[in-house]
Amino acid sequence: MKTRTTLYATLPNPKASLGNFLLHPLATLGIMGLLASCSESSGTGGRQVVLPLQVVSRSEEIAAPRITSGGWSVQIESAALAFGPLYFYGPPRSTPNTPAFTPAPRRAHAGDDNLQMAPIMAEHLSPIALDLRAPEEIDAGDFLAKEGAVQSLSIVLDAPRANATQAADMTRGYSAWIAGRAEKEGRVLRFAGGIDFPDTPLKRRVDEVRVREGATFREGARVRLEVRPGAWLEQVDFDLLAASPAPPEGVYAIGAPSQFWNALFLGIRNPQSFALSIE
Amino acid sequence: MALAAYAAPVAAQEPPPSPPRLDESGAPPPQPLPEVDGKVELLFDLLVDAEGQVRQARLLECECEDDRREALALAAWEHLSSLRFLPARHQGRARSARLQYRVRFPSAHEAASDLATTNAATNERIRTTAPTTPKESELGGRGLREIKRGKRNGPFGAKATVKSRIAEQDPVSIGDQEIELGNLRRVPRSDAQSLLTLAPGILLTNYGGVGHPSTMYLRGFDAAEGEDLEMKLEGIPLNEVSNAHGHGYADTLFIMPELVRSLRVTQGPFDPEQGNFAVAGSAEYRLGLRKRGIHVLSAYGTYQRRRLALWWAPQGQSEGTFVGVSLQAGDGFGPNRAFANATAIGQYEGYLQGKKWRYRLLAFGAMGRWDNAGVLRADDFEARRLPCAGSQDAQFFCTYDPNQGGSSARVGISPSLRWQSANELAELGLFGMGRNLRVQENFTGFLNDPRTDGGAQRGDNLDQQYNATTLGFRSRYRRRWQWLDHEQYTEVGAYMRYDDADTAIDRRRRELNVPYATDFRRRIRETNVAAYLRSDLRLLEWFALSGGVRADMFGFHVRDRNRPAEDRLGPRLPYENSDAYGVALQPRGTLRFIPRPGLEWLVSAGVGARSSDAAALSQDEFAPFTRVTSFETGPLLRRAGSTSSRGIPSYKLEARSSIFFTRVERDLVFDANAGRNSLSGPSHRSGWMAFGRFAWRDWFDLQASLTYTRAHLPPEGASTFDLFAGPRLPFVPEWLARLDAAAQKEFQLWGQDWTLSGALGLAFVGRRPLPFDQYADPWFVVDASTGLRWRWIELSLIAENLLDARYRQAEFNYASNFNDPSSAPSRLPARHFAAGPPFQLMAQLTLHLDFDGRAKRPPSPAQHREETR
Amino acid sequence: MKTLRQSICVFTLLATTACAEEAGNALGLGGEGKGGELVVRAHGGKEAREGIASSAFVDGFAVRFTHFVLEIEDFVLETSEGENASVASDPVLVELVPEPALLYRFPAVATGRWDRVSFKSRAAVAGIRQAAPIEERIVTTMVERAYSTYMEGELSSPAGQVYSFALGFPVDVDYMRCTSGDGTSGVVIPRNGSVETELTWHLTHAFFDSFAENSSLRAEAWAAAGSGSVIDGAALATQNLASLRGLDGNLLDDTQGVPVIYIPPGGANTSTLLDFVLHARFGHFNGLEGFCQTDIRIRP
Repeated sequence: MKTRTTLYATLPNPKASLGNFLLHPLATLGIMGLLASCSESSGTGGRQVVLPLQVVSRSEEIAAPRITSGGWSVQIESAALAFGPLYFYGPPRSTPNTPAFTPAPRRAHAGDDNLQMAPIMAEHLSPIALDLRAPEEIDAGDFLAKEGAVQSLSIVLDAPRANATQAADMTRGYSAWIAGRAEKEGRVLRFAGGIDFPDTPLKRRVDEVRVREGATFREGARVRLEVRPGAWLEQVDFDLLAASPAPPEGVYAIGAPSQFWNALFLGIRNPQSFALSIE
Repeated sequence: MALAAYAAPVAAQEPPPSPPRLDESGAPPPQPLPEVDGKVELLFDLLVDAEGQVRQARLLECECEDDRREALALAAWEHLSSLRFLPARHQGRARSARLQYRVRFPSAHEAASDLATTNAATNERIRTTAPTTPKESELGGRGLREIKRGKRNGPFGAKATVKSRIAEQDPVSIGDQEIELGNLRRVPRSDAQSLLTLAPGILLTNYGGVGHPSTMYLRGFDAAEGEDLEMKLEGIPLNEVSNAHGHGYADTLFIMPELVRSLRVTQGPFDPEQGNFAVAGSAEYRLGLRKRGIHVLSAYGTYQRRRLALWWAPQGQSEGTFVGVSLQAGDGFGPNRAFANATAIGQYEGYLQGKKWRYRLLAFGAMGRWDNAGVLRADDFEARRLPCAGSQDAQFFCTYDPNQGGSSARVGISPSLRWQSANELAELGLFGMGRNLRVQENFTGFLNDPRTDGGAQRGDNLDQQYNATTLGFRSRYRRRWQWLDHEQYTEVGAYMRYDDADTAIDRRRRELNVPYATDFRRRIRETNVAAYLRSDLRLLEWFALSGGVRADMFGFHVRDRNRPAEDRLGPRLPYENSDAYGVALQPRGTLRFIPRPGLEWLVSAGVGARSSDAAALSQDEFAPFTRVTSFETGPLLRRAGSTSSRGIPSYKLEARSSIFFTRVERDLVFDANAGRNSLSGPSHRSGWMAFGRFAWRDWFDLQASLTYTRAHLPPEGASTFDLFAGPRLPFVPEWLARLDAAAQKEFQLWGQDWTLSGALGLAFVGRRPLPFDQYADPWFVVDASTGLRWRWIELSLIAENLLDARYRQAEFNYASNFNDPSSAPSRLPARHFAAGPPFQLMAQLTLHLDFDGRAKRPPSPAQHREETR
Repeated sequence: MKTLRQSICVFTLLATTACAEEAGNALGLGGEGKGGELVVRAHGGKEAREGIASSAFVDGFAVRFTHFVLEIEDFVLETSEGENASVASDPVLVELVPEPALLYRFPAVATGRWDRVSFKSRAAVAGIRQAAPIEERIVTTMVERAYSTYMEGELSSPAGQVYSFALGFPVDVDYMRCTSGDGTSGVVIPRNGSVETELTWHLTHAFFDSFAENSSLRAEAWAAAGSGSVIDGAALATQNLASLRGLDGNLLDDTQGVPVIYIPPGGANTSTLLDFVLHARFGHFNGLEGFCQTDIRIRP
């Protein structure tokens, strides 16, 4: 006697056609899956590109003497700036995500760091040092960027790091170095010195360096940052400097605390001292 | 077997209707069952067709233990299917007819020849029924009862329906599986959570070290450590509410894998019993130990991994009575990965009044301590900048911050009671747990220090603490009733859970690992009350409908202990209380099309919900839920061969396939810019799954699955049915394939019986989508084990990642700065990964001490053939 | 028949609960439906009532406000999923000194969390609603000169001299995605209840010397700008940020003799003290710990 190996026998199936119909989505999804997995693009959106950064000084602004509002003819004889990192931001997102919950930092003021709303598109972390009297563009190296619209740049005026010897030499270890002379009615004042920025993120950052409307990071784009030192000394009160005791070696040393230092600090930190273009 | 029947006088012109009569000449008696003491009698309702063959057998009564019912009924069916009857006759024609028939299995000492007489006497007074017309129903005596069968007077397909006193529900979806571990437990898996990979489409990735649960991916969801997957142990909820590490964190690592009998995995929210966190699905661990006796295990492996385990199950007690203890420790496969843990679990299961009352008491306790290497920046690894000695492997397994790791402790107890009768089943279970957890991890290095004085970053090591007490109960009542000639079921359930938890995150300084700031510190009291109603209706032979609704209500009370000591009006107390509540209604239903027994087509739909993290709620807020709507459809095939006396079918085959789709409202998606989860609007998760399992007796077991999933963020205005609209969510695995196989063979050597066993686990993870339209490399991992057993001694070798593949188990994308804290911080999201474990080998010695001598070795193939003849 | 009735009941129940949210609302369990009331106030804190004590200023000045008027409009409640509560908020002028003022009362806002709260401050226009009666001359001044904020008060020097100030802000400020001090976003409207939310104006912002945390409060440059007259915008414009003058007419030094510098926000093109002050954003949300993202435009 044959042992039955099945507990179930066959019934005529009035619903076989339904099974066939429902099998079609299975096949479709399977085929789509196979096709999709062969694609090189994962569909997560966005693309990263590597772009070169060129940095240049608008040296012609300081090549010749400039007359200040106080009537002094100021000639910058040497100037250098060390800066970085750079953070590039896109336009604030129209539908930015809302955090489900955030640990709330205590703030005394209304909150100035509005860059939280803007998506970061790229960053260049390596320090950059620039001789502001040299007209040549320098290659600051490549950086990784997200493709898409760019609206503004933030520049952090960090002091040169210990390992950035070239930058440190150029700025004599400061964030910025400047030397020159001011002349008025036959009186010549020589000045030289360096400036470091306060070690507070918001105080050493130049924000909202705007790029033209519609600029985008894309494959093959050229990114150019121009430093404009022409107006750095615009607010310096050379009359006040002239009234101060003469320096022992005939060169006024610029350093905090002084009005010269304050004016230079505000001048460098003005977003109009920088210009960004993306071609 | 003789069958007595009573004929009734009818009109003289026509012969009276006659019931079926057993053709005793060809009726062999049922064989005694060696495992059974004393007599076993089963009463069946048989349908005998017009050819005299038994077409349908429905078990009405069984004087036997519950866990033997199915095996005995199958053995009885073996006998019944061999019977031949002289068919019932009416109006000169052979007809199909129903009759009640009692099958009695003799005890081993009864002679087979006595059976016919004995059974004939037993069946003398059996009533018989036959189809008649109403006017001819009078047969005198006990009469013949009329059966209205409509169109069913002719022969039709047969089936044997084996039922216990009251049946549990059928699968609510294709993704609803009760996975018996069986021999597949030999496939190397280091902990109970890894058993989840026996279900199709589940991927586990661990970035937190041994002792920290793995992140789970299924159905297109990143379920984190339990955020989207409801986890239970014998009905005890394991997801932790408002855990500082993650809302829904569920730790199953304290469960000893040796004590797991089966795993019920339900992918998708289709069962009204599924509760909070069942967004992607649910998983429930069911414990039991079939192999009785004392088992002692000692293991030692690479990287100083060592394990001692002891578990025992007294003879004569049910499978639900056992105790297990496990201790293990190791140095880890790389720097900062050492671990140590211990667990103890015990359960007693007893019965009263036969099997009418079942009571259980489950208790467990566990502790663990582990170090964690954390994640690495991919660019640092590729540039070999990591702070470990220069080889590729040293870099791959490196760590940035040695102050990462954690500790865990828990204790729990759960008594439960079940009562059942012929048509009712009622259950009540209580549970109470205590829990301490501490996890230290550093994902971002030196980036997020909230200091405002411009000083150097002190470090982002987060010390996450969670201490909770959980109390609750669950209850259900299941009722069987008849309608449309089928058994129908209605079930109601209630659930209550109360959590009292302290949760906090402190920030720790890299130097000296001391806390310097508190992100938050809260006490949370959360209450969940739920009820559900379900009906399982069999409307036609080929069509069934299940459905129901679940209602959950949550109450939240939060005491924020980290508020400032003054505000704009002056001094204030540094804490604040708030209360909120929420309600979620979740309907769920399934259509089952059964063209033939063993083959079904299921269409399932359901709504699932996850409660809010209490930290995100405000006073009087009507708590929002993450709500999902899921759909799944596909075929399910299940077949089994004849069953031996030991209840082992000659073979079992299972195959299932489905397409599934889930729409999530108010989804939480990781925002790389913000570095935390943010609400991102709806998302679509869809895919396809195929699964098969074949087991040949208990010698060979093979299971394979293939899954394809996609997750997308549809743009505003996109239709619900536009599955692939919008950008794809990264990190959700696309193709997943898994194969588990186990085999064993007996052989003779030197006059002794030996058993050789082997097991293999293959896991393939296809390219995972990454941000910026990129893909991660696929990975393929092989685990294998082999064992040799002689009498009660078993020696095994267990190998994990046999091919020593180097793979990035977990991948992330966010901004971090692991350089000098005073250096320029990176704000651009970058890729990070956690290394998967390399090749690891463990030698294991197990002693199986069965002092009654019965279970000294598994049965030989010869024994199996005898049993199924 | 009994079982048929039972099964019909079961089917009906399942069918009606198929639409979970609607059913929940019908059963009175849902969060939608009746709505709640939202009351929006503006509060100037203790500075509006008591001024700022000299102990808070590094140069020993004290400030008392006699008027602080601001314009608020376009108060919007939205969710991150794009829903809008459609609350009708007209432009309103509100005086914060000495008491807080009610800005809006929205009677029937849909319940739930509105996690995107935003509002604006624009130039006052003629006929604008006043939260409470405001001096006519102030309203006229604000309308004529298109001020969104206007403040008057007195500075008291350590020597006891008093300097009056009256400053208008021709700025447009947007406050967006406001979060409260406990880290939650927006406001929660309870069912059939009332909730208050507050725009907290921190009046000290006018006297910070930078926009970073832990900045100092200073007033001597203000006093010196006045040159004996009421300190207004034109007066502040005479103070060059690079060479601020003190009361003695010389370069303004702090107590250590260091020339005082006001550090403007990183993106501001500022050269005078007026430029600096006009960049101040005063608004907090539900107390000083809450804040909003801001966007500011200074009209020429």
